[in-house]
Amino acid sequence: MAEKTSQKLRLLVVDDEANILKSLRRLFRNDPFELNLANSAEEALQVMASTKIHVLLSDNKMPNMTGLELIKEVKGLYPDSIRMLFSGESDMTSVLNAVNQGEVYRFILKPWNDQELKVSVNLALAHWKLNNDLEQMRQRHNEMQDILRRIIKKHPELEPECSRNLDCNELLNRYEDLTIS
Amino acid sequence: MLETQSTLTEPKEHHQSVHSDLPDNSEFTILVIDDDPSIRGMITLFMEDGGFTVLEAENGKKGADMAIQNSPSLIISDIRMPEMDGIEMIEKIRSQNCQMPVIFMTGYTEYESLSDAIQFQPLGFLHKPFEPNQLLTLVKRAVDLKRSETAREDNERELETRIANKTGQLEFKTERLEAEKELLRGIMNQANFGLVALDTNCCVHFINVLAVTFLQVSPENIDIAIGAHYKDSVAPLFHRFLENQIKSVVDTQEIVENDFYLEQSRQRINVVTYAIRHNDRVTAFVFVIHDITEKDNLQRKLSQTAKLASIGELAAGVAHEINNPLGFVNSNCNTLKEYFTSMVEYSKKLELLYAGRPASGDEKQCPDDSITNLKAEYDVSFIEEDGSSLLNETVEGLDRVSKIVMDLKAFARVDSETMERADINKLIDNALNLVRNETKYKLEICKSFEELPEVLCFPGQLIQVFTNLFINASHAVKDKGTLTISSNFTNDEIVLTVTDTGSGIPEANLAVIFDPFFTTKEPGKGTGMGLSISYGIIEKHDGSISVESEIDKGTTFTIKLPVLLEQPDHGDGA
Repeated sequence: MAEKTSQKLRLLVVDDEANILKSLRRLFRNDPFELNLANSAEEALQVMASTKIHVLLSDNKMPNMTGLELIKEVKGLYPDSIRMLFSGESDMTSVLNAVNQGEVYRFILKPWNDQELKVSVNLALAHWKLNNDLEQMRQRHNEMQDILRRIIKKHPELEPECSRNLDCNELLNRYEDLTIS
Repeated sequence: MLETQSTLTEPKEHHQSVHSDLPDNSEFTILVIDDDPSIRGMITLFMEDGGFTVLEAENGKKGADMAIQNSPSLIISDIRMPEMDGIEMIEKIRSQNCQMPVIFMTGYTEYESLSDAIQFQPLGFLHKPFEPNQLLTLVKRAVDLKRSETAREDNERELETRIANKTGQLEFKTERLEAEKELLRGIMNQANFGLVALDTNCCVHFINVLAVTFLQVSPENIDIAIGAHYKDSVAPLFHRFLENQIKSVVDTQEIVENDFYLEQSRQRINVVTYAIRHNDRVTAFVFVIHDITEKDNLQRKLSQTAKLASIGELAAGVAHEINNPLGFVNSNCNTLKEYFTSMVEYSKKLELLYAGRPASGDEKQCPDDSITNLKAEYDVSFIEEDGSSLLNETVEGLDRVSKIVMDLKAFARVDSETMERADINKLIDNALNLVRNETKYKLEICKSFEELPEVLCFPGQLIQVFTNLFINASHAVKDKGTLTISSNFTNDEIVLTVTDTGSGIPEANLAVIFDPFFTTKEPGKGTGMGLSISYGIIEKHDGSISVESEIDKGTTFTIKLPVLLEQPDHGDGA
């Protein structure tokens, strides 16, 4: 389930307004992540089917399929993705509901502040990475637990020391990894 | 004389007839005047037999005295008599205003005295010697005369009594009528509306106190107002208006209602005019005048509230329309700032690079590598390529923002009291821009605009009407539909149609959709004022708005606007 974090993180921005996509391409042109753009919810789903997307930033008011609908669908298809909504509407009841139901990681108002948007996007990517690392750690932890259990089975006298040392070291290493990234 | 005597005594049957005809003749007094006592006696006897009361006199003088004193019912008199003859006697009696009938007796053929006697219009003449029948006939005539006179007098008396009664009743009725009239006048004068009644010659039949105030009848004209032509008392500024009202009533045969705005007092009065008909003929015109200033102000506030409500409804959409361009414009500007910094740095570095070279040196001497590196370092190629499209997009975004703000301004501002010239097609576009966010993913918009003359109107209010219709259309369409808007100019009239392919309006609702507070939307979603206020606005433009609808097919609103060249009398600001 978890992936190796060496690969490049990818952001997908969805908006039916081409000028917005263009301005965001400018904004993120020097950022270390890969930027993908889509003009509609349908196009976004196509992109996501062929490319692993880590963070999705979608406009809400779009023809045929709204951003919220897209986000709900993406949540089902790619539960590990971080989803953000991007909207200029002032009636936010449905949007806030979505946020509260945990479907939306962050809600960004139009017009946006470039720096805040950058921070949000990077935070989201970091968040995904954290989640992913946590998952990897959990996997390794489980593996270690398995090994430990097998060792203890063979050498029951080692039980008290082994369980403590291995667990702690492993945790510590992973924890350092985490904070650096 | 003897002859007379004998003839008088003879016929007894005549007695009888007198008797039977006059059962009680004692009230009938006969004065017999003759100097010949035998004739006197004869007649007396004969008359007394008939039941009459008989008085006697032997000459004119005595006869006159007795006649005046006793006023007998009949005088039978000789003409020729000593002392005073019959003619002279009658003259005297008549001079005393005694009008009893007279029968003259004469023994001679004296034409002279006869003609004298005739002027007193005697009942008859008895020529001596005469037959008792002749006397009887004359007396009977006198009796009949007396009787009929009495009857007439009785009649007259009765008539008089009846007339007096009637007069009394009439006076009573008149009094009551007068009191009622006074009461009615009181009621009318206390009424909270003005009332004027004109006859068919346009002369004032009635005008109450408030109408005097409303129509500014000057104090010196109040007294002459009733009965005079209304133009002689009503202030001149109303003449044309009232004239038009009467004209419309006559033309349409309907009740005509219009408003009139008094600029000086900033009052708005509503005038209802109708004709009173009797047997299909107009007998009067009535004006009922109400001061609707307050109502009008309220309506204006209500309209403003509805406008604010629709602004609220629009706000989310409009915000979206503004926030999108604002977002990328803002971001682009930040990027541009970076581009600029980058370019400034690049140019500084470039200067430094060239500063190290000999002054005469041309570009070829500059090592390509260093420039390429410099360009790459500062992203120059990208900036050069992207810069102009960034600026174009930004300008386009700003245009969009300013356009939507202008549309919103045209809609939201309070219209002035006077109308302005405007192109209706442009107002429709204005409204379409405002609702674009509402419609853009739902409605395909088909416009077929004919070139229209500019018309006097309240532009903001018309945009309000159009916005309303478009939003309704968008709400009526479930997923996707078409909104067809057409404008035509025919017969001096602008005809606009707005057709949607929505769910349609049930027939039962068609009659009430223009009523205030009628809404089919959920509570809190619609005020129910939109169409009602639209109706009022179109009416204020002297136009009309109508609706046709078919369930599941769609709805068409048709607006007709006359091309006004000047402000209508009743209309102004609202």
